[in-house]
Amino acid sequence: MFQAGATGIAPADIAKFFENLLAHEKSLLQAAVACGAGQAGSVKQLPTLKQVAKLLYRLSLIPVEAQAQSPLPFRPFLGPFLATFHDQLTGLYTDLPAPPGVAPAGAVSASGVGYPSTPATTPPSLERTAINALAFLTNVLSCDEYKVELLAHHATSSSSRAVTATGDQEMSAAAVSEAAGVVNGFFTLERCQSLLDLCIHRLLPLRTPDLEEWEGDPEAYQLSHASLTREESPRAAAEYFVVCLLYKRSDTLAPLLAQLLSDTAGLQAAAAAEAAGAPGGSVSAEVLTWDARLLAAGLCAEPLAATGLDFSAWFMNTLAPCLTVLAAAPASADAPPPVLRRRLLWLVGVWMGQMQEAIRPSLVEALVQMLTACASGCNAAVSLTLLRTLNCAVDNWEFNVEAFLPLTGATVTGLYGILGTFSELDARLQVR
Amino acid sequence: MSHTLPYYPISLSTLSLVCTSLCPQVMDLLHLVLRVVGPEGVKPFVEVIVAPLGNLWHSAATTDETAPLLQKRVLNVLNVVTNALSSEDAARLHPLALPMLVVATDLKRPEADYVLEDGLELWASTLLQAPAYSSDLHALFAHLAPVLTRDLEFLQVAMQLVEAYVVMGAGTFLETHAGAVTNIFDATVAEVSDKGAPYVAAAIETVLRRFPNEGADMLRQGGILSKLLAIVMESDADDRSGNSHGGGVGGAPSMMDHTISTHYVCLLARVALTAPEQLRALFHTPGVSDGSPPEVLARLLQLVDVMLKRFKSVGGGSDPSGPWHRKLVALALVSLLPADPNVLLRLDAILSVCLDVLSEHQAPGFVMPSLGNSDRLSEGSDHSSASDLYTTNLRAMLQGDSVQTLDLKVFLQQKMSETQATVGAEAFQGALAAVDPILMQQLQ
Repeated sequence: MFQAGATGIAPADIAKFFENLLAHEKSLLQAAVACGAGQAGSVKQLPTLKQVAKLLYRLSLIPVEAQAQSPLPFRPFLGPFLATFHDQLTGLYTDLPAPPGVAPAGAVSASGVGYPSTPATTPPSLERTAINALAFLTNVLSCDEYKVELLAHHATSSSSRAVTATGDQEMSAAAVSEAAGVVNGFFTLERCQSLLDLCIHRLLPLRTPDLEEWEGDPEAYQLSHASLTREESPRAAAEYFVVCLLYKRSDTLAPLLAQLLSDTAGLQAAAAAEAAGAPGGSVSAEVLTWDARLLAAGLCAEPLAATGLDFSAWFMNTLAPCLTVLAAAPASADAPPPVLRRRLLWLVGVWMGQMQEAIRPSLVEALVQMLTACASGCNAAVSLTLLRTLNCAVDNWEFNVEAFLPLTGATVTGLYGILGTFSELDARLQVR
Repeated sequence: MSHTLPYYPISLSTLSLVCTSLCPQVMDLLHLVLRVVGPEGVKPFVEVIVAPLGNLWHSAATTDETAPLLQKRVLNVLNVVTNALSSEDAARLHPLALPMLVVATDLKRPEADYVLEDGLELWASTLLQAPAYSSDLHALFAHLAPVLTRDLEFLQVAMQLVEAYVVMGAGTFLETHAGAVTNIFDATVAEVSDKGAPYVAAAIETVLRRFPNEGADMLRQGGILSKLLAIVMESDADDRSGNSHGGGVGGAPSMMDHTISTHYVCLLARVALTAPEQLRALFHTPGVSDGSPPEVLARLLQLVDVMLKRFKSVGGGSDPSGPWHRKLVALALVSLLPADPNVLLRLDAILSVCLDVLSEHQAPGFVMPSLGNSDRLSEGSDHSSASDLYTTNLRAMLQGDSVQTLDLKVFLQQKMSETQATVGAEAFQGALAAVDPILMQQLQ
C-alpha cells in the first residue's frame, strides 16, 4: 500500500486510512471496556465482547504488519501508533493483581481462552490485541531502518535504496533520521523503565492458569512452554519485548535489572519459601516475582554482563546456596510446582558460556548430583530443564572432559534413573 | 538367527516403558555424553550403559507410533558404545545388537522408515568391529539389496557395508550373495551422481581386489562390466562430439561425466590388469560388440585410448588413492601392450604415462599410500593396529594387491619383451622409433 507509485494510492488517502484506523481502534477498545464491565453481571454480553475483541485484533494487526513491511514509509504514523499501542498495553494490564492472581474475569477469560494466552487482560479476551501491541513496540525498537548508525550499512554508494526482506525501499538519511527521532522521542528513559517494570512484575510472572497447567501435567506443560511463540502468548511476546528494550537502553536498564537481582536476601527468602511449600499449598508471590526477574536475567545475559555482573560470583554466592536449599527440600508428588528450582536450573544453562572455566567442573558435578536426586522422584518440568542445562554444559567446546570422566557412571545411572522414574509415574504405564 | 534380546537385572526390566517425550531427550543427552567422553569414558561403564537398552527397545516396540523415536536413540547409543570397544568386547554386544538390526533394516516393517539410517550406522559399526564373520552377520546381508534398490539415500553407508562384507566374508559370502551384490551394483552404477560414484567404485574395486577373477566373472555375467564400459564410452563419445548429458556449459562435457567416467575407467583398468580373460570375454559380449575380431579390437583400442585420455584426471583433487590408481592405470596399459600391434602404436603415450607415475614415485617426499585408500588403515586411525577381522583381512588384501606388489619398471620391461616376441622385432623397433627420444632417455 505504501508503494504509492505502484498501486496508485495517494499518500493523503493512506494517511486518512490510518487516522480512521486509529480512531476505530480507540473506540473499539472503549467498547470492549464497556462490555468487560458488563460481563461480570451478564453472560449475554459475552458474544458481543468476543466480537469486539476479534475486530480489535484484526484492526490492530494492520499497523503491525504495515510497519513491519514498510518501516520507513510508515514513519508518519509511528508516533500516534506507538502512543496508542503503549496505552493499550498498559491499560490492559494495569489492573492485574500480584502474581499468581488473575484479572477479575477469572482464571479463564471470557472467550474460553486460558493457558497459554496468559496473563489475561482486563477487560478479558483482549490477549491477542495485547500481543499485537507488544509486537508493534518490539518491531519498532528492533527495526534497523530506524537506526541512524546503520544507515551507511544499508544504503549502497550508488543508490539510496536499501534491500530489505520485502524488497527495495527508499532509504534516505532524512527519512531515517526522522523515524529515529520519533522512536527515540517516544522511548524515553522513564517510559522504558516503566515498560520494563510492567513486563517484569506483571506480564512475565506466572499466573494461576499457568500453575494449574503445570500441576496438571508437568511434562506437557514444560514442553509446550518451551515452544510457545510470541504470536500465541502475551508472556512470550513480553519476553521478546524485554530483550529489545534491554538492548535499546542497556546503559540504563541493565543496571536497573542488575539492581533488582542484587537483592540476595529476597531471593534466598523466596527459595526458602518454595522449599517449605506444603503439599497442596500455593506458590507465593515472591517466588513468582523472582522467577520473572531470573527469566529476564537469562534473556538479557549480554547487557547484564556488560554492566559488570560477575555471573560466576553471583552463582557461587547467591544462586548455588538457593539451589542447595531447594534441592534439600523433600520431593512430594502433590507439592506446588517447583518454580524457582526450574528457573535457577534454566538460568545456569543459559549462562553456562559466561561461567568461569574454573567453576564449571564443580557446577557440572552439582548438576549430575541433581540428576541422581531426580532419578528418585522429581517434577518433570525440573527434570527436563535439568537435561537441557546438562546438555548446554556438555555440548560446549570448552567442556572439561577430563574432569567429567569420573562422573560418567553417575550420569548414565542418573539418566536411566529418570527414565525409570517417569515410567513409574506415567499414568499410561503398563507393568508386566 | 536368534531374535531374542537378553534381559538385564535392572529396575527397568520389570517395566514396559511408555515412550514419553522425556525418553528421547534423556537418550539424546546420554548419546551426547558418550560421544564427548569417548572410549575412555565409555569402557568402564559399558555394563551400566548397555544393560537397559534391550528393555528400552522392547518397551518401545510394544508402544504407540512414537516408539521409533526411542528405538532410534537406542541404536545411536549402542553405536557409540560399539565404536568405543575393542573387537572382542564389541562382539559381546552382538546378542543385543543383531536382533535390533534385523528389525531396523527390514524394509517390510513400518518402523524401518524411521530407524533405517541409525540401523545402517550400527550395522556398519558392528560389522567392522566383528572379530569373526558369523552366520548372523552373513544372513543380515539379505536386507541390504532392498535398501539400495528402493533409493540411493543411504548409498555411502550401504557401499561401506558391501565392501566390509566382501573383505570379511570371503568365498562364503560371495557364494550366497553373488546375486544380491550384482543387483546392488546394477541398481547403482548407472544411477549415481559424481558424489556417489566414488563409493560405488570403491565397493566394486574391493570385489575385484578380493576376488580378481571370480569377482570380475560375476560382474561381467551380471552385466555390470558392460554398464561400466558403456558409461565410459558414452562419456568419451560426448567428449569428442562436444555433447553432454550431464549439462556441461556450452556443450562441453560436464565435470560430473568426467568424474564418474574416471572412476569407472580405473575399474576397467583393474579388470585388464588382474583378469585379462574377463576383459576379453567382455569385449565378446553381445551389446558390447558383435564378437567379430575387428569389433573386439575396436573396443580394446577405445578402452586404451580412454585410459590414456583420462589418466590426467585419475586421482585428481584430494583423492588419497590417487597415486595408487595412477599406477593401476599405468600397469593396465602396459599389460595390454602385447595384446595387439595396434596397441603398440600408442607406445609413446603409454610410456609417457609410465614416466609420469615413475617420476611421481621418485619425487622427493613421495610416500605411496601403501595400504590403499582405506581410512581405517591410515596412520593415526584408532583402528590402524586393530585386530578385528575386517582390518586384518583388508590389510592382507591390500598387501597382496597387484598394484602394491608389481614394480612398474620391471613390469614394463617384462611386457616390452613379450610384445617384441608377439609382434616381431621389426614392428617393435618401428614402434620404438616413433617414441620421443627424450622420453626413452628419461625412462632409462
